[in-house]
Amino acid sequence: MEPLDPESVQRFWLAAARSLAWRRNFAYWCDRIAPIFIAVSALAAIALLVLRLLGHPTTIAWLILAIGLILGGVVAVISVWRKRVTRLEALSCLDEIARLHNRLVSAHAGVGQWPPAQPYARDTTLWNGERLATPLLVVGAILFAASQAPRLEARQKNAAIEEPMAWTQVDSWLRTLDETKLADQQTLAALEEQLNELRQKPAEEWYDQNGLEAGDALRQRLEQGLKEMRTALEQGSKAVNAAQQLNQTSSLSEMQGVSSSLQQALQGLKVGNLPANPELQERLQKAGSGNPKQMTAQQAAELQQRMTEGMQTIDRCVAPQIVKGKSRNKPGEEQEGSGGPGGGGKSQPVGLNEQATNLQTQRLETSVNDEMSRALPGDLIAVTSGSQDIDRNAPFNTQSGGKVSPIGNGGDAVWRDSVTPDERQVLERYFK
Amino acid sequence: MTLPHATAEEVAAAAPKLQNLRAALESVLFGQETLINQVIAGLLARGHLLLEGLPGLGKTELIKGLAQALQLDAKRIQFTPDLLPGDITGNPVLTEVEGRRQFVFQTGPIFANLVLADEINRASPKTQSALLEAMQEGRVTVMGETHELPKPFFVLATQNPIELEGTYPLPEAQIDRFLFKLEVGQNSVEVLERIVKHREIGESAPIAPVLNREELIALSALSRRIFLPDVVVNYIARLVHATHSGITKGLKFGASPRAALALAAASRAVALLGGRLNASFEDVQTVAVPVLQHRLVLDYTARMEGLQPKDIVATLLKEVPAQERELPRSLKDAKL
Repeated sequence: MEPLDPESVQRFWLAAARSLAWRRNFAYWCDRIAPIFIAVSALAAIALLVLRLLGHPTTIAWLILAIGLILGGVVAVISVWRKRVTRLEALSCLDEIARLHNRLVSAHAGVGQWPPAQPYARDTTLWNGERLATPLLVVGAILFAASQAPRLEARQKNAAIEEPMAWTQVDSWLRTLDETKLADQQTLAALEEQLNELRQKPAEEWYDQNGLEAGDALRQRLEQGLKEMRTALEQGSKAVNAAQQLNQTSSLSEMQGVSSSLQQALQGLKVGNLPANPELQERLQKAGSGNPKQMTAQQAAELQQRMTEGMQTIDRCVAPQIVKGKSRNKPGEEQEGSGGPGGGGKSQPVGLNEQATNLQTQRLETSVNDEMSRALPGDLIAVTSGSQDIDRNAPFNTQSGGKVSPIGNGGDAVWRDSVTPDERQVLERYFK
Repeated sequence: MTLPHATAEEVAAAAPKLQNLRAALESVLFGQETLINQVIAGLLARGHLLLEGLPGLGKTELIKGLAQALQLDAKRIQFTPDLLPGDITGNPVLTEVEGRRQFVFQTGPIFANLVLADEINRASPKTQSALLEAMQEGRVTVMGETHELPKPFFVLATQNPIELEGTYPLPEAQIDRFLFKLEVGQNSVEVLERIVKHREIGESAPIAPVLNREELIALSALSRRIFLPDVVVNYIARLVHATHSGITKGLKFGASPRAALALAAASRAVALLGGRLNASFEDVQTVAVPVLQHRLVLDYTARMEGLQPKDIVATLLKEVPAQERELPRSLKDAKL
């Protein structure tokens, strides 16, 4: 190596000192950031774990990690800055490394000349791999462990919350249809999948507008399909009966009519929201494809029985629109009376007793009420027939002595009986 | 006051003189190059030296040779238990002057440039303490009258590490005034052969003068102007501070600030001997043992373990890093 001029030598040593200082300061920074890194990552891991268990998006955990690392890096820089390796200290280190008897620091102070450049006079320290890798491994392990925590299924999470009634109804119908093998299995599976999708949503979205509408739409579609299937089954049943009654004397037009009815019934079972079981379709297809008179009595009986069972099944599902013995008016559902004349209070959640109401009698019928917080002792519903018993001799005006309770004139009745105090105040102000 | 730093030319001019002095002393004392360097460094640092070694190792011969080489006035005092302070400093003697009888101060052997205090630990503490003012202040006071000692003034004392019965170990205050405590070691076979070949019993080796008094004073002044970098000052301070009790195990009392000054002066002198413009960590390490070992007081545990002060100093040199800042834990020594 050719000897350098004094200025180049000085530049060489100062560059070497700068390099050494940077290296050591970075190492100090690594030392400082390591515990912060672990602490922030632990915090982020906890957040990640909690969010996953709650089934929420984990973005915030990663945000905590990123912000924590940035802030931690700044804190580490400030911490290192106060005890950073200066250029003079770096020169002193180089003096020691190159055994220069402190000639570099002396030359830096203006005493003596800079010693000749030594290309190999560099920081002789090595990176401590264990020290550097340990925090990274620890952080990686805890974050990985947190990210692998099982995400709480929406269904598990929402188990404590009662799902909308439409969903329950759809679920019940699907189970019934599945057990009786009445409907097409693929269609049932698709409907069940749609129901599960609704259930996967967070519980707080179950009762919002979209959730309720989606559940109702699903229920209505299934109900419509059931009704269509029942119509088709009924038509098919009648056609099979008619086919049994055909004899040798039956005209061609009668035979064609029966055959046409069977085909229409088959068509009704094939199309629509809820196709029937392919096996049933096939049997009906066989019966309607040829001469209805050729159908044996046994075939007709089996087909008749199958369709009757199907109709009964559908009746069990669809016909009882009211669930006996259970209030359909749960809190939060179908609440009426949002104020205004005639409103004011909330409607009482009322269901019907299992005992059917005979409107022709004048017996009193008890009502049942599951929501006891709104029930009054002795709640009764009286049903009478005939015209209202109105006392037409009752005075219309206020009487002295407070003997009677006037019903008021015209709109007075509304004022007195139907509005809340607040509403009454508004009306009084308005009509003043 | 800040002195101008020594220049390369001045240091280069001093080098042959010091080399000549070194060569002259090596012709007197064979195989003791380290000891000779330390003695010269002590003189350059204007310090008093305490030489410890067995009889017959050449301590007295070295000092006599030094006096001859430097053309200095040298006196030798053999310390004995019955030696009195006045025997060293001098006594007022009743003398008739111009018909009147008055006390006239008769200077003692301490009035010399180079005083060899042989077996100093055999004198009584009272006599030993008579050296205190002389060593520290460069003057003696007798009967209220102060007398300046000639310049330069060096005390080179010897003591025998054996035959301690009937001796008076130097008190801490006095021993602290010695710049170096040098141990004169045994000679090797080769050195003994040289001694046998070139020496005769009872005859001193002739030494030609290589420096005079003024040159020695100039070299000493030059030594004071050797640059002492801040990092080296910091190293000296940390080294001395580490000798204090509670910081280093085995020590009861540590070194005084005077020890730090001694380290700095000695480091500068060693740097000048090495022909360098600045003192360095290595110079401090070179003189750490002779400067510190006699200033440390070991505790009971260390004495029971048979540790010597120089062992503690050696440990300190290993444990106190030259660089103040510790290596980051993310880095490690390469162990090259």
